Amino acid sequence: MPIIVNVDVMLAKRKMSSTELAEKIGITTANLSILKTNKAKAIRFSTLEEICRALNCQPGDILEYVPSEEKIAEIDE
Amino acid sequence: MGYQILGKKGLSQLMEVLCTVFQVLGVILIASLPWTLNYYLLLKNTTVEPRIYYSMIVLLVISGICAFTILIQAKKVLHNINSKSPFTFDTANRIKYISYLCLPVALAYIIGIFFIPSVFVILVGLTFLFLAACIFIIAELFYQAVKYKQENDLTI
Repeated sequence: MPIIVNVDVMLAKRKMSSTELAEKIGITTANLSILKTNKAKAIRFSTLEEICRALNCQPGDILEYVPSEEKIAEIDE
Repeated sequence: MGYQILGKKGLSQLMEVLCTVFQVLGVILIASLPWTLNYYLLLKNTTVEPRIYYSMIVLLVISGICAFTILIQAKKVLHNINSKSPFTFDTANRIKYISYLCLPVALAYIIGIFFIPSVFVILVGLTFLFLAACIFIIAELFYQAVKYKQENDLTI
């Protein structure tokens, strides 16, 4: 997936544990783990809102776009 | 109506139990088929040619074996439904097998029309053919449902 979720980076910056964040935003640690390991297929705006509120950041701070190699090859052509 | 359809104490649970009952009854019936058929013909006070008699036995054994396997699959599907995880590839595969298993029955009855002169034989054959197609479509729907469920499960 070219979209990388950087929740763990923000967690480290805010010195917050995963369990604490999961409790604050009201999702299970299993689901937070799916999000952190980039296995998630989509993220609800409501979840994004809660994460931004809990970590006091912008969506751009936790989501990052990295072009996949195929896309880079397409652009070069 | 306070009766629930899914889950424990629901219709699906009853059906799961009924599948086992029908399996046992089916095995008894198929194993004792030559005697049961004779008794049935005696009861109706009719006699049939040996050719028709043996065709009837072959037809009933084929459909009995297929029905037994269908019941095994149906029981597993109902078990999946009762354990609250109906939308899995396992369920979809089993529904597809059920549709495949309807085909030999349909084929046997359609061929059977050449041996047994009864309109009901062709009727059963066509019904099973129709059922096979319907169940196959439901299996495809289940495959799509599984994909949607996976997508939904991975939406956080």
